[in-house]
Amino acid sequence: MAAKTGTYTLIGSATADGTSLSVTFSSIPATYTDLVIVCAITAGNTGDAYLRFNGDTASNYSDTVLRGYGDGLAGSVRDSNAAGMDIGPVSLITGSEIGIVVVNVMDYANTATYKTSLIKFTEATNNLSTLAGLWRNTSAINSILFSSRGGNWGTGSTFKLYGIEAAK
Amino acid sequence: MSITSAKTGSTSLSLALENNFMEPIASTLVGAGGANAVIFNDIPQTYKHLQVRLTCALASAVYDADIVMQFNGDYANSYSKHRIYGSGSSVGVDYSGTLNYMQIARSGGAASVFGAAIIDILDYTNTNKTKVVRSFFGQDSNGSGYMMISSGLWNNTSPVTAIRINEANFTGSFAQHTRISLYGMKG
Repeated sequence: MAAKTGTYTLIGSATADGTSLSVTFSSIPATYTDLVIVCAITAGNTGDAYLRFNGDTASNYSDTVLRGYGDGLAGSVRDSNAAGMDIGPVSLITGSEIGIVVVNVMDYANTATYKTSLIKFTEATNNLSTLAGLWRNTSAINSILFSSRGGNWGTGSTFKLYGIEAAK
Repeated sequence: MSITSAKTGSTSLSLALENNFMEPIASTLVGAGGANAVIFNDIPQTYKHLQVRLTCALASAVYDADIVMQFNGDYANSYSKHRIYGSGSSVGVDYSGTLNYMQIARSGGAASVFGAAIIDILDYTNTNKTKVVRSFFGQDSNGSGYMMISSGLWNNTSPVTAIRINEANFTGSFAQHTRISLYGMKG
């Protein structure tokens, strides 16, 4: 079994200037196997954040969450029939903290199955969350919107979109 | 804590991604006939770690079944696991020892829903260490779901040269569109 060359490919990136409620990656090529979005979030959001695919604003999203807080409590919650897929409690990011959100959109270009995403949110002071998200649609994903339920993305927040290509 | 580059503003993870730290080794996309197992043989010994990325469901609408991993054709009781999981309403933790596999994922939970997992196999060529696997798995079916973080042990110091992935009881086969891909990660 010989390995082929190739690895993560940077598809797009964005940096927030503090005046935007949303960030969108569009015209995503269908040539990769998985997508990975790495977000380094600064303070600014006053509500939690979510993502949407392909401009779909209907209630086609859901997620199951496993999370822990610094006080030793762990919990699990669920959102069903939601108009966006949660990516974590970004409103907990305060001061000079940076919260990290990594979103793995699995097999995003296939047209046979609903789309599952694996998401990890880390914020050192308060919360670690892992999420399994579902978009009930079999379309290939060609755009991703990141938005907030309150407050703009903090100045300097970065969003980087990568494509992972499996061996052929 | 995240590490931020003063030069580029990138986080440590994105810096790593941009330095081509990972290469594809092999991938299986299950066809219409299904597959009882996915096996990667002759794994190159030239990487520091391995990563398996999968989306899977089982044929015949078998939902929420355990998906497991074995190394080097070892089907003896050489494995153990710890895990924490959330059901959407409660949290559980458990340990199982003397297993003949490591649980790494579960199948999809409803029609058209595929479970997904990212599994890291750490220091897989080292002959002085038993092998540790960590899995990040999730599946949501809009009203039910499962989120799991687990660690698995293969109590063997041999280099990992082959990986087998299948349903735990060998009663379910992978459905069409199941995709399992193997990558090598540089040290």
